[in-house]
Amino acid sequence: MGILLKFTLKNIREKKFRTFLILFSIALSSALFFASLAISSTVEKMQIERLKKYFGTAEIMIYANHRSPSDFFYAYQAEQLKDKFEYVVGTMDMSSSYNYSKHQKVNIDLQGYELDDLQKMNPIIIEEKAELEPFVGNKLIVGRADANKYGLALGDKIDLEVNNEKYRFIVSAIAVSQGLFRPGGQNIRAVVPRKKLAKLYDARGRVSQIYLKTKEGIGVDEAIKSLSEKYHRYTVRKTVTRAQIKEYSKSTTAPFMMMLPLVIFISIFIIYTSFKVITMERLPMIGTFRSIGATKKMTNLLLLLESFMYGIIGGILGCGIGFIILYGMTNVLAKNPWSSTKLNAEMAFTSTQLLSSFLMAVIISVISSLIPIIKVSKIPVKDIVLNNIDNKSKKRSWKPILGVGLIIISLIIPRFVAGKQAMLIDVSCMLLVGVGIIISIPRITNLFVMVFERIYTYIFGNEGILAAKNLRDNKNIMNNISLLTIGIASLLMINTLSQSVAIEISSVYGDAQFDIFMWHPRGDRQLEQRLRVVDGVEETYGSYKKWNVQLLERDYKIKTIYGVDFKEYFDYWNFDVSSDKEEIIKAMEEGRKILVTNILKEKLGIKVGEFLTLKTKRGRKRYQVIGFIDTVMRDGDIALVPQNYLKVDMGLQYYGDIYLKTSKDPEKVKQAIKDKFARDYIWIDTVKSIKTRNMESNNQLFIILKGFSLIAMIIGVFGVFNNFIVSFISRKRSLAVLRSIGMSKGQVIKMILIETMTSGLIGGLVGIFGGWMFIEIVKFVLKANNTSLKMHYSPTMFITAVMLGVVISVVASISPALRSSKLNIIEAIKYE
Amino acid sequence: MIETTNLYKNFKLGELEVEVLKDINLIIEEGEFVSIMGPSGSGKSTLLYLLGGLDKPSSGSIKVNGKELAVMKDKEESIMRRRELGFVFQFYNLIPNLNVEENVLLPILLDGKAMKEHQGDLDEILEIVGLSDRRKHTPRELSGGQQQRVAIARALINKPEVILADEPIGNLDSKTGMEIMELFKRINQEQNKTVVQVTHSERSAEYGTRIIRLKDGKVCE
Repeated sequence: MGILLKFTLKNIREKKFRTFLILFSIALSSALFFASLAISSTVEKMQIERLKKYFGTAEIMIYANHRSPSDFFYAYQAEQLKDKFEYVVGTMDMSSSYNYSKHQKVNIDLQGYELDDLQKMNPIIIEEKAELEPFVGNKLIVGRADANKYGLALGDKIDLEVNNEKYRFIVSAIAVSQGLFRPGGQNIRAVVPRKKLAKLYDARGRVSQIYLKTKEGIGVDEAIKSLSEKYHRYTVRKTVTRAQIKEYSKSTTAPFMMMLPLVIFISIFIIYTSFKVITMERLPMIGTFRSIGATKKMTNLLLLLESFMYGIIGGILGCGIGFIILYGMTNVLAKNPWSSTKLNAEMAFTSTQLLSSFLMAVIISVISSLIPIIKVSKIPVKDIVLNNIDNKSKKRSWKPILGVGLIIISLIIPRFVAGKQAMLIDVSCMLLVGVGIIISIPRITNLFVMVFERIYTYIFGNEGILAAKNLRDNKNIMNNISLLTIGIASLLMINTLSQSVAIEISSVYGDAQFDIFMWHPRGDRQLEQRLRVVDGVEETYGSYKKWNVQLLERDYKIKTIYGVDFKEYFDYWNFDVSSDKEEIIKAMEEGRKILVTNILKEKLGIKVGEFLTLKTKRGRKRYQVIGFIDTVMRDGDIALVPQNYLKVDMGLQYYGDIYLKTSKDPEKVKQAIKDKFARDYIWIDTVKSIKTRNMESNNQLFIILKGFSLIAMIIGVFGVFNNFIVSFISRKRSLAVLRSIGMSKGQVIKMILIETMTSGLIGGLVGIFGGWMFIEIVKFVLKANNTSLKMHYSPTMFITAVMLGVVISVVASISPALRSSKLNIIEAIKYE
Repeated sequence: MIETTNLYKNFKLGELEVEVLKDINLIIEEGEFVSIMGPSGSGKSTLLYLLGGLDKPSSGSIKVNGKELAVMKDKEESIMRRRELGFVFQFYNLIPNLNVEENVLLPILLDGKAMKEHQGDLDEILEIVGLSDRRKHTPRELSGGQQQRVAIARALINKPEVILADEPIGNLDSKTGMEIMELFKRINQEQNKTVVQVTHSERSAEYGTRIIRLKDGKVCE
């Protein structure tokens, strides 16, 4: 066995470029596999970290709602149950503002804690402190990032404005910017003694929230039940559920999982084609081994050993590269466009993920080499030894039929599948389309060649005709066209997707006819009046909102239902409506009517005139569909109903959204409102900046996805380089013959360049076609993922794709073309 | 027609410099059918390739139709190969993805001429080599003898004055081989083409008008 291993290693070392190419494809595939797996745990960790800022390790929280007698309450009732909990932490909070320069202020959320409580629930690491203990009075702790940003130093005395009154606090400690002090969000956070805040609120001994963590063995639901009994007029709920986090990370990682099969597919193709060449090259060796008594099993084993070794080396490299890719992905995702501060990117992965990526490398290597190995093992020894191998591939007429069949089936099936399996089936269809295209490529190429042959006579003269003829049935060139096709198709798919998302986001905000978005916990008419007196506010409008409303007939939850006054609403949101707006406004006055989006119409098969039964607080209520609106706001998962009915049916008191039109710079108006409502927990932003950040946040995802498709393309390009070299080697003799009968060096170069340009052109054109088909299927993949996206095709992008195909191809052929022109005619002709 | 003066050719074999051809002085006249013979390694194929301009001599000169090969640029040399010379090889050396017609017309294509204009020549040559009924077949669909006929047709299509053949029947059975030699003889006699062949076989050498024998890189007679 030792000698076999040595022999195999020698083979691997012999062809350096090919070995590099195979290892490169395997390593990158397994690296992307690892990164895709690990990014989900990384995103989960990031999300947990993000939520930790608010809840630490607490599982349950209690706070006041509009039914509560007061905003403040005692914690002793919860403490009575303290044998069930690891901790019961009562906190206070208060909003304040701080003038950090003459004209600039920032809102500071003051968090009132007992220091011991805080360390139990959401530990902070103090970097520096001065007379922090005992933590009473006007002491304040801030995070390092915020301290640096706003120029706060230990011992600084700062005046915070609360309700038009100033209170002086002393910066007594600066903590590491993590957990509670993790940057992000509109306001900065500071920890102050709880009792101090209670005193300011005149709520001594009471708290505004209680956070609890159950002891091991105590169920959270059970604990919530017993707490609810004690705090029946307050909200008792879980801080955050595992399912929520999973759901969040799923939506981020699903696109990577979608790209991954394509990358693996390209790698398998490259390994498969390389192994076809390897097995052909090893034939004499196999013949020798077999003629001196080696069994088929032994020679197969030898080749398998080689692919196994590629798998092992590629797997190890892949895990290493995977770390780098994961690090890059984590860094991109950690950049939170909703905050100016960059977060510390922390990777999270498991040893299982690492091991499975390694195994994946070995598996794809072995599987991809299997077919060529089996094919070679079927050749009789006599034929090998006598070099009697029929290299010609039989033209199989069923192949193009199979190819076209696969393409058609894969385009049709996604239209008819729904439910949990849809995602898997749709992604499989995407792969099958890829296989279908590759199978059809020889026939497609021949069709193209027929056309080019005629055109080229006029453009390139006789070398053009020769070049076109050379493309026919040339396996290496077919492989190149396949690689270019799949690479270009996936690049096009991702770019079209990202561009469509950008256009759609713009169009959502294009419908917004106002300048500022706002939320206030107690938004009502009174609040609107207070807003209207702010300088620059021209008009305001408030709409009611209910999340996740159960649609009974269809077992579906509509993400958001808005209760609106249609007379005014359309002045703020200029949606395209399926029928006349005036008629809709009139119809809305006649009872429970509903407008749903076109996306929901398609997803749920809703028809005009039908009744949708909503589960409301007051039981089941039937709303009649009177039309459809065209928007992708909130993924197009929204509906509009008359506000009076939503208010009554859902028991809503306050606005869900407030829209403001301004007559002055929205940013300035926003700041003025922030100042005015500094004491309240409001959320406010301009439509413009929401749009920008939405774009940025989508860009993050697409940067990574584009990276994926780029890697696919790079593997493809290396494959193309390799194929041209292989093609040169196998064509040496033909080229020498042409030289011997009078082809000049210039003619050789011209012919090869025309050939490669044509193959690039065909690859690009078929790539466009493939890209279009991928996008057609991606629509359904998105649908299965509960998103809907209108695709926007860009002609420039498609033209660039074709040019890319040509450029890659021509560049890759420069070296073989030069080598061909310099080849030694006699050597190439004389010796077999 | 073809003239060599003080022709030398050396090859490097590792560290060693091997003299393959030594002081070859030859004159081949128009219409001759010359057979170059000699044992393996005597340098006969090397000489043929030098005459065809496929390789460069180490020293000495070769003139074809009065033109000195050494001073020719690649383009001129290529033009000479397609218009004035026709090559036939032992292993036929056809382009596998082109059919018989296309293979035959290659020198025309390389010369930038329109294939249509040479349809008459093509028909005539295919008639001569006896492949009129095989014109649309690809090389792999033909027997060895047929493939060699295609190679001969290719060598003739541009109406060159000289045909250079390297062991043209070396890969064929004797019956087919003799048929091919008959064909060369006919071409030589009927069309007055100069034929220079390299061969091992005395029998095939007899079809020629003159035999040049090489031994250890030198002409023996």
